[in-house]
Amino acid sequence: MRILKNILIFQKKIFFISYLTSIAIGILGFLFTGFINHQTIGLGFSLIVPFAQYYVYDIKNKNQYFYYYNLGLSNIMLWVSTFITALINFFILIII
Amino acid sequence: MSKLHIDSLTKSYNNKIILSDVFISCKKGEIKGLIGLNGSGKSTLLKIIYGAEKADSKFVRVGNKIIKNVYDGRNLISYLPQDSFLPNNISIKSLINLFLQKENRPIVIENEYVKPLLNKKNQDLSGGEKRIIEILLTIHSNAKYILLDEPFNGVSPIIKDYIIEYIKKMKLLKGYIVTDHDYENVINLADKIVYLQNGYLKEINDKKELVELGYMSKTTYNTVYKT
Repeated sequence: MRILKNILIFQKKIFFISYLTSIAIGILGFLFTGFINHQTIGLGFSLIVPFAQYYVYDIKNKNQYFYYYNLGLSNIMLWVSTFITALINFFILIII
Repeated sequence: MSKLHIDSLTKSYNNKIILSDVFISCKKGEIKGLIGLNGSGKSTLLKIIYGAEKADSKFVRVGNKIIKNVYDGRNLISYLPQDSFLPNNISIKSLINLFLQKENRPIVIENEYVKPLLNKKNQDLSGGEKRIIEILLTIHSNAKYILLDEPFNGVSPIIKDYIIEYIKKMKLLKGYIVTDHDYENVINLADKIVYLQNGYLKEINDKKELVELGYMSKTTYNTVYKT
């Protein structure tokens, strides 16, 4: 449970940036087409998420990886958690 | 408790050898001080032992468990990096609860330096306040061996002395490898000193050797150790 909570904290920043960006894409799409396409937002979100992790952690807060490493979470595990959460969000958004 | 054993550790950058066939070990109750000139590879060595950085070759073992990466070293090795590593926007109390196992939390929460900071967030703390929290979290993790990379970075002299005494008090339970740019901190704290130069580790038995190795000037040695 403690580890799961830590993964959620790791994801929080990534998803904040990714949601904001994908919503902006959705609004742009709305301005051009006149309707909101959830699939496009979902797809945009999934594509942005890996870049968001790279930006937030690999560029801006590289040292924070050590917090998660000390909990036994390796780099691969953190990337996998990001992709899994991105996929879950993608499916939620295309189902809506 | 099983010994931390490192050997055959080699690392090079752009064909320049940084660490050459390094051997170092640490046992429970021991504080090993790692010193060396700036850029000699002290931090790189600790990161490789921890598993966060790749080496050309290495053999790291705690007891019978071979450590190839950070996942293998979970609950065995903890690492305090040089710079702050705690996530922002979370209260210190929550961080303690998230980072430490239940049985290890009270000693940190009740600590005289931590108690007034419990409701603050990491980004609202001074460098010294952050450091003491990070050190306590690392020491009280479940790991059997603690690697401290410049633990005295940004801390005031009184906190530095407190940390030295605290680690000495806690050393019976774990093994420590400590490095710091200020040799005095390491010498005050460690039971054994190893000196890293040109990629090789040398055990220091007499502080006078540090003058011969070019780490310390004769004047400094005479001022600090001969008065």
